[in-house]
Amino acid sequence: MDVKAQRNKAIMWAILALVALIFVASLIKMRGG
Amino acid sequence: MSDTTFEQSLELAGAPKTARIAGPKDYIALLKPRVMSLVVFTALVGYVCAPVKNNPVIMAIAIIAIALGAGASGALNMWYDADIDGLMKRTRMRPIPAGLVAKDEALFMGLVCSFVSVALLALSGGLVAAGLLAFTIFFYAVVYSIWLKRHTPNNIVIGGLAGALPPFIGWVAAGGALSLNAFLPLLIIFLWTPPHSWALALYKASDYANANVPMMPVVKGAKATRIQIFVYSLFLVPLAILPAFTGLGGMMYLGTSSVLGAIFLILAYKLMRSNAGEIDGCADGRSLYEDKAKLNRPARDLFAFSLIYLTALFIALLLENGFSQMAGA
Repeated sequence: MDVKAQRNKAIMWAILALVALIFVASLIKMRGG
Repeated sequence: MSDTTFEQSLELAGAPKTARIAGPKDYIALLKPRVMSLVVFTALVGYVCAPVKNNPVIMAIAIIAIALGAGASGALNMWYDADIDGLMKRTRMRPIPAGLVAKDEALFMGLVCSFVSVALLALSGGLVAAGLLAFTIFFYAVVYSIWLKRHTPNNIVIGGLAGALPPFIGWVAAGGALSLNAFLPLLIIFLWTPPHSWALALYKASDYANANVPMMPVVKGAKATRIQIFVYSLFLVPLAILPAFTGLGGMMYLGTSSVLGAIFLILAYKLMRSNAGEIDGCADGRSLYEDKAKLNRPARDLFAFSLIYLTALFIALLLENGFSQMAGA
């Protein structure tokens, strides 16, 4: 995998991690956290 | 189709090859943030209009879930439409045809965001709302993008249901009972979509024709499209006034929907009587508005005004129902 493709994958995973973070934060908030 | 073949086909079609390296904004662009902001707005209106007392935190989470679902639909659409996006001036700079983002990454992001959005809405808005969101994503990505868009000039009429559902999902997520008022915002967006989309398609017809997308002006011609726009407007405007008499909207809504509705009809009538769409005025591909051809001006006017019209209607609903929510809190 070239550097460009690796960098792209990193960006994509960072955005998906942010989505996961929003999901977990919402769960905590809904449980009254 | 393998990626190599796909890239080659884009090159052959004259799609731009950019030397730029992808950044986070290119991945965000996959989620169609402009569409997402419209969905957030209409879903919020639906949520606030439901005659139930809202918990602001749960409401915010449900709206985020619906927004993420809209983003997922956008990514799945860009994944499937990459070939024709590369052929159209308006869309050729999107991340996939511009060679910045790989197709399978858009598919992966779309699928992950779909799953997370539906799960989040199930937890914050209930299973029925989550089911509706899943249906909407499926309808936009599969029924509209894969099936209708390339096969019928009524693609945006039927596909418009996907764009019309968010306020209804918001209403259901809030726990509102099913009534006429639950469906009115949905019906308004549903009837608004054809005049709005066809006004744009009139002066972008060659773009769609190049990509073999059978939009109404491409298949039936400009005149038939202008007449259909007017006919849809005749149904849309009275329907958009109706909420003022069903308890969904108040005096502000009545004033807004009547005055702006009259302007909408005048613009649609002027468009019908014009020759807009008879010549190709596609001066600049990317801009939704830029088009030097004077002949197409009535189409551009209606397209621009249709956005103002729908936004104003929903702002009136939001203000009137938002205030009554606060007064009741």
